[in-house]
Amino acid sequence: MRNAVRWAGSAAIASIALVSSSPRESTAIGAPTAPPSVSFPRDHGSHPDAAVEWWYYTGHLTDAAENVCGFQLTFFRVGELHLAHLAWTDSSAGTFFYEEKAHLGLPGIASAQVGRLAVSNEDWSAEETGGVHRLRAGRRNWELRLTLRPAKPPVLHGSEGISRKGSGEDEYSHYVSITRLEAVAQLRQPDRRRELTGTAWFDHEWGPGALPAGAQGWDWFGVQLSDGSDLMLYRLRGTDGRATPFSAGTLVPEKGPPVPIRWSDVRFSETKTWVSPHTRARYPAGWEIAVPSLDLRLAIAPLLSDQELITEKSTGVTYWEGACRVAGSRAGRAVTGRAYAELTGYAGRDVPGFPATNRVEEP
Amino acid sequence: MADLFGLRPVFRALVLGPARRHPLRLALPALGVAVGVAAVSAIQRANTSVTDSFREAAASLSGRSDFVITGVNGVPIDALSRLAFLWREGAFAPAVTGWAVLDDGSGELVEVLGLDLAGDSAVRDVSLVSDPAASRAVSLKGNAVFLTAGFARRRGLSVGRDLWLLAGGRRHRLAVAGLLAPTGVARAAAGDLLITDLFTAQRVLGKVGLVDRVDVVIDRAVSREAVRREILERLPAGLSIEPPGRSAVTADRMVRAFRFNLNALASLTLLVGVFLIANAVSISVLRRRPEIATLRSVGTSRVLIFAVFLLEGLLIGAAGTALGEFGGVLLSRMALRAVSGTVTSVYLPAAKITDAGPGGAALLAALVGMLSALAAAALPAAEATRVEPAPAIRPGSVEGVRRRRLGARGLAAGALLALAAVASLAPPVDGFPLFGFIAVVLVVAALALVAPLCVRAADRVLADLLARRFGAPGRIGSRLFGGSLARNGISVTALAMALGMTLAMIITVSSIRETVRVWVETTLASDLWVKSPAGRSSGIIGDLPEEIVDFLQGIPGVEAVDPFRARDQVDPLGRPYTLASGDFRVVARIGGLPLLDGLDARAAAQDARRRGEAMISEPYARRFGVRRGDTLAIPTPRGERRLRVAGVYRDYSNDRGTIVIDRELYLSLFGDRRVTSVAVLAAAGVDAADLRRLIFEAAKGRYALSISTNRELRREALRIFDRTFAVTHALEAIAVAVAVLGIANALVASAIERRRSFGLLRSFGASSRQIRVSVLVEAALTGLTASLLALPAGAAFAGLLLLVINPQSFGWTVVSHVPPGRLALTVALVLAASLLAGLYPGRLAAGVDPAAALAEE
Repeated sequence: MRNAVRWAGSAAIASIALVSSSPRESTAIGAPTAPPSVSFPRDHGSHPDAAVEWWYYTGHLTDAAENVCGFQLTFFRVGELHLAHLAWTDSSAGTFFYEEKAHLGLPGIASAQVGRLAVSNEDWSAEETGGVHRLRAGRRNWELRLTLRPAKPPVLHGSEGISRKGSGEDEYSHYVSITRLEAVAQLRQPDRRRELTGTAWFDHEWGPGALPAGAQGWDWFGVQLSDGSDLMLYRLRGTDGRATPFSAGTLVPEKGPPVPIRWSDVRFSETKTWVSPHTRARYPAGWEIAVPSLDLRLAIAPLLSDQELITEKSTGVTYWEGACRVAGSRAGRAVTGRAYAELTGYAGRDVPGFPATNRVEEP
Repeated sequence: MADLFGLRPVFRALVLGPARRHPLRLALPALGVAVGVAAVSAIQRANTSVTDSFREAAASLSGRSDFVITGVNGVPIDALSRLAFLWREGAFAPAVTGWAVLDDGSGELVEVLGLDLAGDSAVRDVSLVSDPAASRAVSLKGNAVFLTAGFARRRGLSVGRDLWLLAGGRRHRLAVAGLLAPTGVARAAAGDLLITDLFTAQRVLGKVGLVDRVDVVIDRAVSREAVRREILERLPAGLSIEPPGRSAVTADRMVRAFRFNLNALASLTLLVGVFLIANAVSISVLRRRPEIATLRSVGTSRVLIFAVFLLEGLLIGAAGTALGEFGGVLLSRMALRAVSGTVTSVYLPAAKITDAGPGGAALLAALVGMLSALAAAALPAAEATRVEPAPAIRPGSVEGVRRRRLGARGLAAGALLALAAVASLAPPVDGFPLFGFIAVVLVVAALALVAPLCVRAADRVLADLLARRFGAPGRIGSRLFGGSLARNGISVTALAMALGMTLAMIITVSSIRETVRVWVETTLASDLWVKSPAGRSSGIIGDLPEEIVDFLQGIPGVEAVDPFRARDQVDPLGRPYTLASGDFRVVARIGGLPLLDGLDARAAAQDARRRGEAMISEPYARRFGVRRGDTLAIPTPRGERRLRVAGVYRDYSNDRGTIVIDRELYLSLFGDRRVTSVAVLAAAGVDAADLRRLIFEAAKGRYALSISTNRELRREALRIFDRTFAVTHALEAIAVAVAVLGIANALVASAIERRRSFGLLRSFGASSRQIRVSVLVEAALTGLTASLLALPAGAAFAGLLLLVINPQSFGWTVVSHVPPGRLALTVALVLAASLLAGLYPGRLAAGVDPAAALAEE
């Protein structure tokens, strides 16, 4: 459900920069007709016919001193516009920062290759060769290099990779994840160089980019459990704050085929809230999630309260995306885990954008 | 010896007292200075506006950039990948720039700027003042543009409205997505600017795959020079890296000759004022001789006397300057319109020139005004110091001294003229005919020296004739004239100089105009000219797509089509020139390229095409010192290419110089297939106007074109020409007006000075009418002598303008053409004006009360 953020990205635009390069009127590819034949590595590459597309990496890294850090590196493409977000959470230092970039797709500036995964924005990049993903991003005097090796094959969410967001013809996306990758990271600063290791998560979605009319926001979770299974779950909230029927998830066991999860099977409750000092937005800050049919119970809590991104220079959307810790049980045995959660539609300012976008996009 | 009296009492006695009694005597020279200062100030302000506008345009476009990368053909978009390393040292931002015409009936030009808006903020600032949500809604439909709020208001546009543009030979619909504050890059083109995303700009301007510039910003901690070198190493051939202000320097160089010449002409206007001040101060010295002698005999030093009269000149200068600054402000709007009109019609069609304000120009004009006043007063003030400390001498005795020096004056004048002749042979200094203008000033100086001789000669030759014709008043008038060699010498010089310059300009302008007319008629051989619509501009705005050539060829009634391509280039020394291409086969068929050395254009074009040689325009040959048979080095996207010069052709269309090569050679060298304009030859028996209608019909819905017939183009060429020289005419008229005022001034002074004589004449029975006539005779003699002197002076000035200043400034060969009627008319007008100038002083002299005047005695 990461798409929600990106959709919001094309909608709630604060700067004229973004505005002027939004997708053209006829870029929607319409309803998915025949079942798409998704194949890799080709479909890790860009799909220029899709109005909106993104490549999304999150993960948890641990250094020699057992400090846990979280990272998020995202490359978006909205029509001819390429955006990127980088966020870094240092749980032991209690710090969080993020960077953003936005450019037209131009050689040497920002690009997304067709046929293989190779995206870049300025000197940030993500590239896949021989199954290995190599990432590079940073800011002044701070550079992160990541080598990610998939521990599991790609997962197609929804129905053969088509993830429905609403009942409308173009309210869907192609949604592919690699829910677990072994991560080796190098953190370069002028005075020191740190090696970190951990696990990462990769999402790739592309589609027409239309939002369900009544959508207010969403809560997305990517959970990696100590028993080797992974859970993707999103709650799509309507304007009344409740989940819509298009909320869904996928359980990816350590081995064997992924199991789709219907929202009706999910017990979902918020246990805490956090008010952002930057935007006054009130975000949930703790959850209890149960899927009785899978004998799964999880408590999820952020590593750090403030992991809010205010991306005025790029997507123009304010959202919360952060590293979380997980505890619970599965099949009667205690499990622990790590997660990334993404919460959108809580900061008032990006909400008004949605209806406007939808009206414009209906020719 | 200490001065008995200080400067103040002496100044009061010698200058202030008389000035208070006859303020008019000082007011007229002040007015003369005022006119000159006004002209200098207004022209300088207009010129500064041009330079500043160029700089401002370049600066607002470059933003914070440290370097700009440009290319012979623009920068191919793929070349940007070679710059990716820059993200570690800073940032870079590509931009597409060009011009378009508003298709709302106004024909107004707008700059189109295509940016990577999302990522451009490292280099340039843009700030939106309209509702972002509205911008978003419009943008989703594509082709979104942002304009300055001021521009939108002026053109009645608002967010959400469509905006139609003519560019690249086509009509485009864009949607107004937002309004910008007039800050940052939105200041470019004086706010007449459309900002859009880079891809939209490429489509509209017909530059798909290209950007015009890449601005590079380097982190402060990084060595600029190291980065510059690394960029240079990585750039493909045909691309170059330059400082961000370079485009302003280039633009300014294009119009520099024009600016310099205008400044020089404005300064000549001031020269007339200088003579008027010299005249006024010398009259003052003459009148105060008895007082000076008395003061000297009681111990007043020469230095103090000198200082007093210098101060008088300075005071006149200051009053004139102050008045002139005011006049300059009034004149500046007119001057700015004229100057920017020429810049846009002749040099840079899309330049937007905004008023720079009076600041620097006013300062310069004040400085020039005061210095001229000082210089003008210095000579008569020095004369005053030669008055001996003896019992009062009658006024006029100095004239005796002068008389004896007349022979020496003649010799000095001859020497100055010889010097002027030598100066006229010197080459230009950095493209500006400095020595040509020095020669003009030397001729003026010679004129000043020789004028008293002429005054005396005129008096001698005409005295008897006047006495016979007008009786006593005629004799008195001629004596009044010949009796004051110094004063009348200066009046005559001022008028002769102004009139001489006017006559010279008339000859020069009509010579150039006639030359251009003949040139236009012999070179414009085609029937129709097709270009992208240029709106109100008379120049070329944007290119045409290549298909236009086939499109035109396919229209029945079209015999032949000659696609022309022209683009501005800069040589390694920063000197601008035009690189052009045409179909030499068409030239080989119909000629139309007037070659120097009497070569046949048809054969030369054929040979040049076969051998891959270039033709160059005469200004190019002169400016760059290149001749037929020499070799040129031209930068191309694939590196430098050497071409032999097959011939030099006459060209009056621009003064920076043009290289023309055959289109096939051009395409092979540059791969640039766009077309600037197309000449169309109608088939035998096909009417040009009919053919134009046919082309318009066929183009409907596909191309937006501007098509001129042969006759329209000729008329347009001359119209632009006339507009260009309008400023010159205005300046000349001003100079003559000032000089005529000078005559009036001298006569007023004479009337005041000779009160006693006129009183005496009246008491002897002379009627007031007779007195009036005698003053009119003096006025007529002044005008006549000046006119006679103006003829050789004018010839000398015209020679300098046509043979030295013009070729050195513009590189044009001009066939001289003397319009006798206009010259005679001008002289007649000046004579009539001289007579008019005698009316008021005549009344003044005639109104002298004999009893009072004698009582003074």
